Amino acid sequence: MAVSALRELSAELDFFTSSAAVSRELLELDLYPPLPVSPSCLIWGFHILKEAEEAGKDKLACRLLPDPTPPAMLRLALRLESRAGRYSWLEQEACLDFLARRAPAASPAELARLLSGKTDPRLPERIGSFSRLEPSLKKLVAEGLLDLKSASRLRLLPDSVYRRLAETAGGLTFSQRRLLLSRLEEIGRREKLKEPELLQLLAEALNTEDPPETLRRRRYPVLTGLEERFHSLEHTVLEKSGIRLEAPPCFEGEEFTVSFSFRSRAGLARKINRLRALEDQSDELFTLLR
Amino acid sequence: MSSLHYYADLIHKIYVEAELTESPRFRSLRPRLADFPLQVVDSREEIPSGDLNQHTLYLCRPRGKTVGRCPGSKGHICCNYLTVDLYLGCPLGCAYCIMKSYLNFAPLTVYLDTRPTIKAIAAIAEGNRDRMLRVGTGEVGDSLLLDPLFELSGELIQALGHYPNLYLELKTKTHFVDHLLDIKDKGNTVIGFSLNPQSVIDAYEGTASSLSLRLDAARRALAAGYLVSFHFDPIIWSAEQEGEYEELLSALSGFPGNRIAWISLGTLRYTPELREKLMDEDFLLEEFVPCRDGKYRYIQKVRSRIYRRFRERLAEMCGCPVYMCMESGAVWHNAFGNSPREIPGVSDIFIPARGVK
Repeated sequence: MAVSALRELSAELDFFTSSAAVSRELLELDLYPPLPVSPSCLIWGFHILKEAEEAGKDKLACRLLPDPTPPAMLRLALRLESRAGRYSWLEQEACLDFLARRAPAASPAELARLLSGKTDPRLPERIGSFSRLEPSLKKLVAEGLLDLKSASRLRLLPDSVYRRLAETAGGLTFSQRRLLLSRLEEIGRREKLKEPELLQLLAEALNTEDPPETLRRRRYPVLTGLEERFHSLEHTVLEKSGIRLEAPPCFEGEEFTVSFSFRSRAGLARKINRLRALEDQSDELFTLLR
Repeated sequence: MSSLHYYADLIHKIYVEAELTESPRFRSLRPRLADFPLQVVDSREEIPSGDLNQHTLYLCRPRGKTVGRCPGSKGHICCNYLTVDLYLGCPLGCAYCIMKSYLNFAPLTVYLDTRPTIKAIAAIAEGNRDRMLRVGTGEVGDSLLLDPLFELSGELIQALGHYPNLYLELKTKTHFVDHLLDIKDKGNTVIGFSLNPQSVIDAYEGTASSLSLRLDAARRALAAGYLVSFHFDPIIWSAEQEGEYEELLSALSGFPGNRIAWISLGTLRYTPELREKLMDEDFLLEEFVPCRDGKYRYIQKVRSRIYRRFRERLAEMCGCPVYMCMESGAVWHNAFGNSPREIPGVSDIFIPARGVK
């Protein structure tokens, strides 16, 4: 079929962005799957068509299907694409959207199987969650900068926050980004922050060495206060003593732990002296747990 | 709200286990259930998936062990309460309910034959005559929400009231006590009311009764000769709520201390699984930390301060036993100055029963 004629056909199924490339050499030898077409629509092979145009080919091998239903066309396209489990969120969304527009009564169950390569009844629901995300948040997920589950939980942050974060995406790990956003939202909800205040807080956090930690301290002020008092006490009493003082995790419990090593009687005596100083401060230490 | 209209809204369908349909208990109950769509099934598995929800009742006989120990929580002190399942599941819809994480897709189950339960409790009471036994039906469901319809609690009260060492507790967030008031031999039956300020009830306790209705019901229960108990659990704490809890504690001063069997305290706690279902709740915006049992609680120092305040106020007012539910030894020492086994009045509550697995 003439390449120019193929371009005249409907391209509503042209939504695969990561199709396996066809080499120019194979194209010249006509060693590629024939492109399925309906009377009005190119069903699959848009990447082959593009490559043919660039190579200056004027014809491509095609197979005309007389009257395929929309679900049959999508099924065929997915089978030829053959990337089950490796479709992007945007590709999956486009498939589901096509099905919803052209065959609203069709069950998405088979589509889910072709997309994921397994029985996954909740995939359509997840694709729906992706579709409902704010545009900039959706972009973060589509680009693999944030997972869908975390993104779906974020409901109250303005789009500008996600845009700002996307600008600095390279400077944060996946996990840091997730923590940063969830903490920012929780702080925003608790302190009833408005958009400019949220952006200001995000900017401040991003200017620090550890942005998620900066927000953790604001999100957990009481716990942070306990940590600061503990470290201050430890620093004052035990600095350079070689004695390690540990509080119970999250100040939950009743015991502190000290550990140290020594290699002489004099060394031991020095440690004991510093521990006596710690004993003098222990009332304050224990108030952290009471 | 204990009228048939109330239950008509609550219950959309009733399934009955086939083996139960010929029992005198079910036959006597049948006219009362005449207005509900009712279907006989061989087992729970026959209930269609569309009906596996909290608007469906499943009436069946108890299965397996009828009396058990409260499962407790690793690293935390358990009061060794004994639990009986009469009503399994609760449709009240409290936002913080742990049952949300595992009972959502299940019908409300009513174990209609109380005889095995009564027999088991009686045997435990006989074998523990030297100690106080506390047995409650409110662990996995509200003790009284469906009770006006099925009247199972009355059977337990009448059958077990003569054991002087047995305290049967019926714990509720409703005010449905009137069907129990005329029972003659109440023994040490305790009607337990879960309490929270009205603002917390409005925000988080679904369709549970209002605070004033619960307190009025407690007064009626007392007047009829029952002991009462109060459960501040979960205490949902915030700076705004502090004053409201103070007011609520003051409201208890009108109750005679010697008729309050006990008061329990427990701050809000949740499992990681439950947290997944509670993402939008504002109470999660307070500071919670993971504890040794894997549940999240307010920071120990914060909890200790809350409990100290409750203990001090309650000690001023009523002098009845006050204890904490699922708290660590550290918090017991911080708030009560000792472990529960060393506190007069509380220690009896914590003695475990013999012969219960």
